[in-house]
Amino acid sequence: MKLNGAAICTIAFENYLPFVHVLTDSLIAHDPGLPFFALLITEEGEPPGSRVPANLNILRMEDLSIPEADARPRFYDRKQLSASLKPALLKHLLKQGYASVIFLDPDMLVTASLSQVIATVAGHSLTLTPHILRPVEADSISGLEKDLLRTGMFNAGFIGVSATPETLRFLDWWDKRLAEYCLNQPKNGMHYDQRWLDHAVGFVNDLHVLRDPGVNAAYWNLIDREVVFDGQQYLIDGSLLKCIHFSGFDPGILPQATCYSREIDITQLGALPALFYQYGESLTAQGWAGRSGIAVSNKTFARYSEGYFECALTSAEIYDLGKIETKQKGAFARPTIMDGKFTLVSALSAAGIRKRLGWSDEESWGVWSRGMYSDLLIPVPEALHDDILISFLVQGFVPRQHPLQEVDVFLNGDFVAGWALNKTYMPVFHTIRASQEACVNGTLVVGFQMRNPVSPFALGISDDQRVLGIRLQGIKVEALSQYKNDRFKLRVTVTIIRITAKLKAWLRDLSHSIRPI
Amino acid sequence: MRLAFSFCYEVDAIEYSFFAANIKNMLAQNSKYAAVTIVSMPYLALARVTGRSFREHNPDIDFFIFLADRPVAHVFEPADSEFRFLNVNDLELDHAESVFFRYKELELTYALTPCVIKHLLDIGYQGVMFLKQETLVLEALDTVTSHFSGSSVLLTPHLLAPIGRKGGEKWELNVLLSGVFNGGFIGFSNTTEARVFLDWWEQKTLEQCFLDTANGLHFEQRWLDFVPSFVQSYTIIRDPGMNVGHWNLLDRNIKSSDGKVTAMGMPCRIFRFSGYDAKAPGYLTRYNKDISMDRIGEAAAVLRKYQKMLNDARHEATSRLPYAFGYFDNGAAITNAMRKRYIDCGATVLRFGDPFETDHPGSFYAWLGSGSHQS
Repeated sequence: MKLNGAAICTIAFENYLPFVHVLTDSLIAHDPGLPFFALLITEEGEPPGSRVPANLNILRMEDLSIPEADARPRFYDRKQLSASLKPALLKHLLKQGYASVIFLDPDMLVTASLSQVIATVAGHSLTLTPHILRPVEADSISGLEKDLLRTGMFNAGFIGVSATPETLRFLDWWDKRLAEYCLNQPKNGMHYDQRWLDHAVGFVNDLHVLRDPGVNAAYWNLIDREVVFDGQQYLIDGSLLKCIHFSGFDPGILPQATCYSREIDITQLGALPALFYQYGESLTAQGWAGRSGIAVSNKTFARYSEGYFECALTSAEIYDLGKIETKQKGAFARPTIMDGKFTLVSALSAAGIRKRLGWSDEESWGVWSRGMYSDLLIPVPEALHDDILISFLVQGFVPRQHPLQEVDVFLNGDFVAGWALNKTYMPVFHTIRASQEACVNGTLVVGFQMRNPVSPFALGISDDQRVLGIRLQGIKVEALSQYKNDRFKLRVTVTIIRITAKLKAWLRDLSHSIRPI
Repeated sequence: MRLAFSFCYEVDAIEYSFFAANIKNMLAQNSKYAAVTIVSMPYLALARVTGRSFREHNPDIDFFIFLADRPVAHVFEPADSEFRFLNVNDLELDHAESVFFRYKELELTYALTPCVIKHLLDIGYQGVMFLKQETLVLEALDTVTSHFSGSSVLLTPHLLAPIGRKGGEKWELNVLLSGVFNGGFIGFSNTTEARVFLDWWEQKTLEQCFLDTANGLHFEQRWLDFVPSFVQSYTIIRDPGMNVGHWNLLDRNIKSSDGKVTAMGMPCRIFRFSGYDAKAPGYLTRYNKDISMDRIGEAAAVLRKYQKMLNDARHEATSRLPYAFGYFDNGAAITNAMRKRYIDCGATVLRFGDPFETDHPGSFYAWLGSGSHQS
């Protein structure tokens, strides 16, 4: 089958490779010969994966010609970074000469030929799929409509573009915004890359809203649909299912359909349960170990004793902790050093930074977190007209028996980053960014919620009963413009050196060419 | 307070005669399409300006003024007879008093938008244009009404292009929090899917027409973001001359000469003075103090024209009229704190009956006074 100049693409971190495998296989089964690209992101220093499938075109971040000054890899977590690269990837493929390109999230599965969908995408500048196509029935998913008002009308798991000037203008704008504002802050109008797409209805003249229930079907729109399997293919409200989005899928929690909502059980989804179980098996066959600790836990109430929390906190509780003490302006007299120099834990209090909750006693190298939640109070200048980058030199408590420590990082009570800390021989800097608005009260509260802390005692390593999550060695704080300036200075210096070298060579040539009379 | 209150009820008789005449007028439906604005009595002059400017350029289309209030008859002028008046008694709402009580004055006018549009479709119009109260119409809207034949819903986006200025992302985020479509101009035609959307929208606005952007609410406006999701045939009017307001003014290159106003070279059809405060005439809107008279270039001429029309419509006098739903029936003023109490009671408020009533022991007023709510 020949599909005119179309390509499909996805973006994944290397730990999502099993998803990419399954998606690739499903695509090849229905549209063999359709070019498929995966942008694969690896952590710095990590060796390139050995299990990269042969039938897949792998792209790396270096291929996307992202300007050097673009600082996003430094302060985005995995989810933010991979979401923010969608426009750059789409632009890259359009510039390669593909007439139309479809982005699919890695947790999608193709269940029928996409040729019709591609034809639709090729006929419009931009094609988007709404999350839901009709009002939610009162008893299906509570609060979904208001959630969508906060997270976006269109699902960013499917994006269809064709090579028109209007499309490129839109992608340029989207890329520019995502370079800095691919954040999860619904109260400020942001939900990763997705909420920005709502502007497409104003910015793109030839926007096509693809209202086909068989494209980008997912738990948020399947619940009150009629789903039938006719022995060959699935029909959703009579429309052929072409691609399904397993958002928040975890084989370990089946029959719960997604880790994002406890309300949805796959048995409510007509003929689909079989497909969910098949998908889980395919993932396991590709080596997916499951998403540990991501499933939504029951609402737990924190027990607070001896300065640390023994249970996970709810987001409301973390929000409250983020507000405490930032109310009083200038609670600390001494401003933090903003020069970007590294401060050891032992020197933190001298720099005005306070370890408030959930820390063990200091040791010579630094300090262990203790319990489910730990936080730091960092004073910042109030009238700073700039964003701040805060880098933490941390490692997880990840002995052989417990290889992964996941941490949610909160800034003044707002979720800003999710860290997945695994075994590294050297501590690594993890950076978060604080907007100047966040600095308005003169104090930042950085909270760390450990998803799976554990005590050495529980693992049988020693009789140490402290519940450990991360070990912090030091911090550096710098203004964003400072960071950019440093890069700029570096580049200017390099250029000058180059020019000088060239000049010398030219003078040498000149001197050779001048002959004494 | 008591004086203001009794004043507005004593005129019932005159009110009746004015509206009886108006009802006769109502029976004749002169046009295929209708236009409507919604105001409370203190904002009557804004509706007059919207209506007069609309009728000047669109004399063949019926224009309605919906009073989200109890009408005070003596303020009506002979010139008002060119409009059709409707008021809250024309709507069939469940627990109407409860709705009137829970919202502040402007919230109520916004919350009633879907019901009023539905009411006009019920009367028999094939398409209804809603214009928010602070609108100035500058051109014929035939290009707009021409969309009615193929579309269930007509919408105008706040922004037609990214804002390239420094800090543009802040304004773009602001629009995301307020809704990508502007609720100041919308059109609905009499189709099944338009009705389905209006029913759903009405249900939302009667319950939660509040400003709470952190939770996805911006009065009635944000729900319009769902139109492309729920409605098959809708038109996004991407005409730079439609719905010019403080949010896009600086990007629309407004020119004015010989009374003709253009936006990016296109005729400027609808200009919106959202947030205009007659007490601060030097500014276009109270929402953005950066946009003062001397910074908006030739758009200042439009603002001056609007100010003059507002003055001619007796804004000064009508703005002092009382808002009927601002008082209990004994004349005591209703505060926002009381409204909040009422809302916090949830569905149990229905036990109070009409919340404006004060003369029986089971009333909301009595409950407030008893102190039992403080426990």
